Amino acid sequence: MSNKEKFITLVSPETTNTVAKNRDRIKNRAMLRESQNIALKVLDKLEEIRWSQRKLAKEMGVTPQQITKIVKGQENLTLETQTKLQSILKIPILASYYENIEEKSVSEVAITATERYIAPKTRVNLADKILLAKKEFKMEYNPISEKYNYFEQTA
Amino acid sequence: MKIVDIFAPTLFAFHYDGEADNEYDRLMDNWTDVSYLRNYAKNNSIDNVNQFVKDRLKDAEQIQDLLEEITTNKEPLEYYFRTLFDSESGIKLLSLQKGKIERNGIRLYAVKIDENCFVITGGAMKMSQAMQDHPDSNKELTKIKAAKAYLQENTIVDKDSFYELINELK
Repeated sequence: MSNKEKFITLVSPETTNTVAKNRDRIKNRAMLRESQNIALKVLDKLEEIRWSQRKLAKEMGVTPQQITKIVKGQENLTLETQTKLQSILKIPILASYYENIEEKSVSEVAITATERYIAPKTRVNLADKILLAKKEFKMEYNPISEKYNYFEQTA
Repeated sequence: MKIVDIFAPTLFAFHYDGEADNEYDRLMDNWTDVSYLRNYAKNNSIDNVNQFVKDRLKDAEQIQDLLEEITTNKEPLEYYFRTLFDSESGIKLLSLQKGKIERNGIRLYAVKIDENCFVITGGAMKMSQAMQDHPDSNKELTKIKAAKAYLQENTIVDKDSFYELINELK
């Protein structure tokens, strides 16, 4: 028997789906890249805010296994999951993250542009302050008590 | 351990005891796992963790494309493998190279059984020049040796030592 023939007899009879799996990865490449980006953002944020994956699972109302899957970056995440991640972790995942910011700033600009500016009126009348009674203090030394007595005199 | 066929009769892979997948699938799963790559970078004191992750993900895509090409075109596997002599371990490594492929940070190791007949023995992320320097690639060397021993036990002689699928970093 040749080397190769001996080798072929050694090979396990089971079939692998390695080539098919590989083709799927290539086919889903765009989706997988997005999934990977999200995974990286989630992991970075969890580190920043010092949350465990378990804590995130609790906040999202999912199992820890689901978080493990998310951070692997191999899942085709649902919009629901993406929305939850975005709102709970406050990280940009969907276009809505940026569109909401834009909307907010646009409405703020509208208000300041249309509202007429009126200078605030002062509550305190300055003249009153100046003409307030002047107070005088007089100190007298009492040799018996060895203390100073303070007298208030109004001008 | 057992040997499974990826693309018979040319490309095979070892499936080690206790592992869920054959070496190609097991490694590809790790190399496309963001969490795994990130932890690996942190455990190996990589400066820019996220860049490392992104680079390895890109490298993994290149390997996927290479396997797809192997299974669709008519070139013999020798076209894809080249020898590389690792002076430290004294093992002649064959690496996969097709013309001018971009530098890749991950490697797939294989043993040549016969013309156009290779078995993947394992793989690693290139962390150091010599395989012995890093515990993971050192582990791969041990696996390669065990695979070689297994073949020899069954009186199968591998030609020209070991082969590396991925070409090395500059």
